[in-house]
Amino acid sequence: MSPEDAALLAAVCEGSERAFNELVDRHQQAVRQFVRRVVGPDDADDVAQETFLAAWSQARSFRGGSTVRSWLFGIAWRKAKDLQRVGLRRGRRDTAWLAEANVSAQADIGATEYALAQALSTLSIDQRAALMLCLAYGMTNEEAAEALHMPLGTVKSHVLRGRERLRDVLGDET
Amino acid sequence: MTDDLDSKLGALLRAGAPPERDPLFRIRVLERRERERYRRRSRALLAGALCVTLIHAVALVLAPDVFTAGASAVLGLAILGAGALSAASVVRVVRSLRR
Repeated sequence: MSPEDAALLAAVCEGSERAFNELVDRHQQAVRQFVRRVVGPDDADDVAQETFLAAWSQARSFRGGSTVRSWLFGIAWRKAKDLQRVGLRRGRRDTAWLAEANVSAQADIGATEYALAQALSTLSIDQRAALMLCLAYGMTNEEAAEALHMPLGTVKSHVLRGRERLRDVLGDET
Repeated sequence: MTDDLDSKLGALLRAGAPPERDPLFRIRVLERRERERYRRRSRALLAGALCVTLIHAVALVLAPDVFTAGASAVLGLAILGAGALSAASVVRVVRSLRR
């Protein structure tokens, strides 16, 4: 864990607003991008904001066994799952990803981004989360398993299948 | 080969990320946190006020001699005055509790 992050989190535990601001500035990009890819762009910032609110109120629960970023990913993941549960209860979440991908395509975001959104829409939320942590943010399978509270074998399988699916759908784009 | 593919996929997954520094996002987080705090404090205040009213009501029933009519009137006026002064806040709290 970076010593700066450890010091920041210790200061957050003491109630330092400045340290909290710095923590948000440092990690917002990664957390928001992770959530965007996992739940889609519509709810992403809402979930990311909830993540940092939880980090503020639960800073003392950080045990130091992982990096602060990994801990934040873990909180974001739980928030994303909560959102998915609510969405499934409302019966709209299943089709949300494709709809968002189509909207994104209309907004002319580029062929590769569109293909990626389509490819991700064919994966489960668990697979998307495992892929993001391992491929986009370079975490090991073990670290991802800890952050996502999944068995190691499950994460390995998600990454393997997700990678294959992305390669199939993206084809020459990669 | 796999490493190469992984790094390309990783770059694709990171593409289109929000800016590295985004003060607007931070402000939204802080705003939300303040709203949460306000809501919590308001709930605590409301709960406190309810407790005081309840205790007073029970005391009036159990020991009416202790609480004279004058004391009750003063307390009632104080509660009404506080309510009138913070009517807008009370409405906001009630609305937030309904959400």
